[in-house]
Amino acid sequence: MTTHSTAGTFEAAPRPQLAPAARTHSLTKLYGSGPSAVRALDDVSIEFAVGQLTAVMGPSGSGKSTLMHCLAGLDTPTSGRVWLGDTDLTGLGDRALTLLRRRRVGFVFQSLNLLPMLSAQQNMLLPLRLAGRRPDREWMTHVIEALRLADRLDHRPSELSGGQQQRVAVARALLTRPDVIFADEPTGALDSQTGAQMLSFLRTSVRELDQTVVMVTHDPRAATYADRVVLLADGKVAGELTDPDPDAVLDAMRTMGA
Amino acid sequence: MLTLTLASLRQQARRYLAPAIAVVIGVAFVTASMTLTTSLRSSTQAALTGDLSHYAAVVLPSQGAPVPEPAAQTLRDLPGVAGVVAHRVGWTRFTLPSGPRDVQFSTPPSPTSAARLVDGRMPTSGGELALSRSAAAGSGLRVGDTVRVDDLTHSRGSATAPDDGVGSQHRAAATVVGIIDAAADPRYGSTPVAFATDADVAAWTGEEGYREIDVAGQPAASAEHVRSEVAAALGGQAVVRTGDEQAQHLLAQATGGVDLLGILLLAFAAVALFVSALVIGNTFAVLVARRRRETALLRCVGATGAQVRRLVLVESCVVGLVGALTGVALGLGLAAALARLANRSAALGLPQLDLAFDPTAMALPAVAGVAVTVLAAALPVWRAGRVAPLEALRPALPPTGRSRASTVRLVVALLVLVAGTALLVAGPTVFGEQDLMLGLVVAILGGAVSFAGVLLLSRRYVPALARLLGRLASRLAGPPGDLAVEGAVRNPARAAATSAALLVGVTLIAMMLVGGQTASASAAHEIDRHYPVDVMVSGSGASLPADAVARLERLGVAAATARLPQVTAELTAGRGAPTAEGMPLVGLPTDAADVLRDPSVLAATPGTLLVDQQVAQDTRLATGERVIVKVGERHTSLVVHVGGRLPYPYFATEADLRRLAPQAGVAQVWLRFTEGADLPSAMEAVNAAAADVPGLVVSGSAPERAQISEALDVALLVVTALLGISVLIAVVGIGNTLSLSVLERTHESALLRAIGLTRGQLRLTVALEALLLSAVGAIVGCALGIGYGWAGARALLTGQATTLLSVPWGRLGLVVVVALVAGLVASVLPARRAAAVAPAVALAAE
Repeated sequence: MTTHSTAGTFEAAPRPQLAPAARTHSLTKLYGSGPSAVRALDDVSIEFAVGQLTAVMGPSGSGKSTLMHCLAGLDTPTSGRVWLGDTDLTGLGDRALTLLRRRRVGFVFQSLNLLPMLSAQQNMLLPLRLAGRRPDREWMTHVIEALRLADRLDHRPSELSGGQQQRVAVARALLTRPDVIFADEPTGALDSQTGAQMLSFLRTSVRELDQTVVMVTHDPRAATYADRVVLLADGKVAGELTDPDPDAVLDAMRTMGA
Repeated sequence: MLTLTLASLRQQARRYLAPAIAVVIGVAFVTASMTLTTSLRSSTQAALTGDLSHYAAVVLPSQGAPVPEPAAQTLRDLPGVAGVVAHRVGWTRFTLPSGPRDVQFSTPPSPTSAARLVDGRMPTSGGELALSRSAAAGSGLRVGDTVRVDDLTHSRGSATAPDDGVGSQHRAAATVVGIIDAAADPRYGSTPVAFATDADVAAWTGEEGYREIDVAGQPAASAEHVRSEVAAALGGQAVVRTGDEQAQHLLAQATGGVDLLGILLLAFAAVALFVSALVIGNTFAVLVARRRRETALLRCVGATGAQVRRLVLVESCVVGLVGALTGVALGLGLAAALARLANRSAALGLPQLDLAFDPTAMALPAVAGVAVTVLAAALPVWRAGRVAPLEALRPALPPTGRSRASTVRLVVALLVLVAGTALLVAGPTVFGEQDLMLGLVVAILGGAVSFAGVLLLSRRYVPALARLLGRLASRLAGPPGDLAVEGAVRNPARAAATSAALLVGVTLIAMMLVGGQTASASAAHEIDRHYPVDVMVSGSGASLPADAVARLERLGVAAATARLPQVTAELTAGRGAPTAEGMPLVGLPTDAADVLRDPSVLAATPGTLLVDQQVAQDTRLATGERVIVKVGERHTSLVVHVGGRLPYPYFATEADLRRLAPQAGVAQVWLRFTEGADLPSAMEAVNAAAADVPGLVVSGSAPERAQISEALDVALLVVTALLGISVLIAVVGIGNTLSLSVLERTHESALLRAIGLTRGQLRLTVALEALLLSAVGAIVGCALGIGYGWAGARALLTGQATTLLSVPWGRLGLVVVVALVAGLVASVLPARRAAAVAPAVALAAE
């Protein structure tokens, strides 16, 4: 399709022992059609390992949100393939994708994560209720305590602070024990201290709860919490860092010309 | 600013569709009503002046007594008179397969009359009939058919008994030779009329004299001259008017009815416009709320509050104007279509309608439509002006809970409700006893006021009820049920307004249904007393053949039958001469109560003589008096009990009668039809069973009973259809509220879809939300309708009968089902739109 070669380091890397939690092959996504079509993702092949916190970084318009939407079954690729575990999402219909999101995917968005008319607890339990499943009480207590939400359960989102709202969203994502949690700019609407708490919690859940998290962000500080950083530019993978520190991330961003 | 308005209107055109439709329907209703009434009036006027202006004088009965017969000849001989048309009008009965039917007879319409022949020819010789279209439709007779007509002159001449209602054996056969469209002539209108020659009308109806004599003057003589000549010739025996005077007089009479019809139609149209106003107000409230940020931005860049208000106001004007103009056009089309339909349908009995395009009938509805739109949008417009510039920078706040204003509102609403209810209940009791109209007016006022209270309170009970019903929804539908409830009650004001729009129509329909049924149930007692026996088959005194009796008793349509003996008796009160001789005395068997609609009407106890009220008055018999009853050689003493209106003058128990005449045979068989029996076929079965016995007379009150309930049913149907228009508008409102909510919640829906709500579940959520809102409106409407219907019937029946609440549960259930289905239909488009949004797109847009 194109002569441009993607980050050589990635293709040369040895295959991980475990099957990846999610991966794409030649993923391409076009918006619109004809000459005015926008190429949001251009031939992206990438893997996300189980039990890792991966940050996808890139400037606005780099295609990072589109990548996340395609991985999570929220959007369908124009060409190429997407797997969640060993499920090929490419041929699935809307209903199958919905059930897959309900059972195997968790979401944390930048803001407006919660339904305003439901209490914190109702919001947390919504995916389980939609699936008609009962929550695992022990797990639920654990998650609520870890996120320090015990005394906020009956509050409506409008009565919660921004950080609390995001923690409820994380709790919601964790309760179903999904294969992957996708977090889209989870700290974007938070002040730096609350954001830091949020990120350390996400990392703890990866380390201690063996959770897989893919996080889209353009905040270099957020990326430092990740095990691995994938850099995206103009719809292509532009590089990758393992166990990054802030300087490395900033350097990488700078070389990308962001 | 106008550029902004236009830009905003273009962008939001689809959102203004619903309020525009609401205006269109309301205005079309008003336009069609006004155009039809105007046309009816002008058509009547044309018919009247076209006819009566040909006559110099019109002679009419004075004080109810017909114009004496010789007057016609006297007038013909006057010098100034060129010709005379004399109208003889009276009543007699047809015997139809479905039973006897009272019918008005008249001499043929004058040549100048607007009535015209539509089939066959006019009756020219004895034994010929022409029927008005309504008479033909009612009787099922066609040209060429033969019908038996009671001949009242001859039966009267030979009758020895008082007119007992049993029917006479003197009948003439008449052949239908023509059908006349008589509705255009106000002399006949929609009344079923049979036309026959003057001699036949005189013979059959026994009418001695004329109802009207139209006098044509000589060309040279002035109308006033002829009139005074005629008046002088008749010498005060009759009222004499010139033709033009009479036309004016009739026009006033006829248009009085048309005006009343117009007022009624306009009242229904006003209801429709009111519901439109609720829908419009709601829409603008939602749109203004949606545009808070945009408005705040305008304020940031320097727009004043007044400018912002003007912007929204102009939008509402444009929506109102577009809706109103479309509505007027639609209304005119509707009126034209209805006029065509009415001209084709005989059963309606309306005169030939020529559509009159009255500028007022177009301008007034248009103005009303714009005014209603602008007024309904006034509150949202005012709120738009209060949006602070800073709101552009703040996140939208969720609706706040109870403020002081809402407490004030609650208190006011409760006060209004209590005051209105008090008026409604007290009106008939306090004022109704002296003046029924005053009681009724107070009750209507109270009803309107209390309903305003109910609407003001709707913000409180609509969400509460939606939650209550929502429990059922969640049990049945799971999470979508919960989400629907939360969505429905999220904005109490909007939920209340949406439900209230439906509430208005459903309440009024339920009120009419319950009120109608309650009134007729309360009046049923009266009807039962007036018409206690469905069918009486009698052999006029002689015994009936045993096989005919057996045949009648075996009829499937008979729920109960009774055999009654009858003798001819002589009555003597005190010691004097006989009070009555040759009187039919009917024996009541013990099972007579089974055939009677109201057994108390004919409840004779042993040793008593039950006497018809009128007969008792004529023969001066009083309750408690002893009379000697003599049959042949035997006699006995009975105590008089004066009853009400009875089918025969005298009744005793069968045992008492048999003591006087042990051999008396079965002279009559009475039948009571099974409930819900089809009347025409039931009567036909009875007639068939009695057919081969000569001289058997079939009578009874089943046809009258059926006519009364049929008339009520038709009236209810028409009213329900007219109110249905407001329900239609309310349903447009539900669809509108939903689609705006769906737009508002695009992000939420996307979020729900992301975390696992399927497309079907999202559609179900929107549908359930519609169902909840319409269920609340329909159920509360039915409950209120039961209350108002009862109160209305009570006010109407003050001092007449005790009001027995009777609820047509089946019909109310149907109303609820229709409302729910309508709500569901209204949700289809919003639900599809909600489900069509791709979650990724909606999330990315944030």
